[in-house]
Amino acid sequence: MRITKSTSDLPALRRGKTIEVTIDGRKVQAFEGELVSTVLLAEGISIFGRKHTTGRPSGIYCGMGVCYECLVTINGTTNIRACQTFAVDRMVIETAGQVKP
Amino acid sequence: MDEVELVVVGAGPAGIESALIASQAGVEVILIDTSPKPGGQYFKQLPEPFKSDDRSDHQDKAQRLFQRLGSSSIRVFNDTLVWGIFEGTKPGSWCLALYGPGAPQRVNSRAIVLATGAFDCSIPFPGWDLPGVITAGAALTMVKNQRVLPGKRVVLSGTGPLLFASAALLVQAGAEVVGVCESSANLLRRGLPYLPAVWGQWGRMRSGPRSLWGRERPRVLHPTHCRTN
Repeated sequence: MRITKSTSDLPALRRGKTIEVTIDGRKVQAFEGELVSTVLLAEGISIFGRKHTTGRPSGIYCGMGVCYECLVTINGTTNIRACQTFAVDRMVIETAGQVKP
Repeated sequence: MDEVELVVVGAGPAGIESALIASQAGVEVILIDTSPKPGGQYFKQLPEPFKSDDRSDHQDKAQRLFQRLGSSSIRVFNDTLVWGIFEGTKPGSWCLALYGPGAPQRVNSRAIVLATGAFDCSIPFPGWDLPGVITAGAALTMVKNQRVLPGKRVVLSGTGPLLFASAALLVQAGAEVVGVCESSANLLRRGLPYLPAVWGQWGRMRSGPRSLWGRERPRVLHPTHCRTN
């Protein structure tokens, strides 16, 4: 969920230009300056990948590029950190898919 | 291959300051950072396409530091990863292996300052590896720099003032903070020996009570209420 209001500690902000990215085959709108992890969270996606050894779901954890829990596939390249990669127009993002409720 | 007297790894406040001090003393310095912009986590800057009129003291301090860096003779490589440090060819020298646009593949240096910073120390508990569990640092970055909420309902667990700062910011941003589980039984009493250190940090002293007793105050749960099975 994107934060739209501004407060004392969150001064008013204008996001970058509108861009379009594809997440698991679905086209969604995003903004320049947003990280891949931000776009996924804004779309309500929390499961980014699955652990190679156990298959347990994983998502963003440290948000600063050290834990490698947020790996996704971007433009066909696997194991890219969603929290360190800026979304760009026409980027194709693939997650490990969501769990059915 | 590039040869310098000093390489500083990490362009947060500590890295920039040490690079500046060395540079002012006449040392030739290369400063390397993994992010697109200097500042580290503490002075983390908004991404380039985001525009904001931030007039806080914090941002002011950051800008002053960046100006000093910009007007120095320090060579800065942003967006660059140091993936290895090896013994140099000359005795007593080091060879740093770099990866990044615009950066050389290797740099030889007589000395290295590692200012690579800190990250949240997490105590594992069952389920901590699942999506939805994040560090307080990640929550702060998401809210401040990306303007996205990590979730609608939040419980904060751990110890220290960062927990309350994160809670206050999350509430401001519109999240429902269900509670703050402070694991230390008496944070204020334990903090007393450090009281002299906060002398002069008036800005921070102001923000402390705001997150503890302010209008946006989250509910504080004591350790006994936070036991997990």
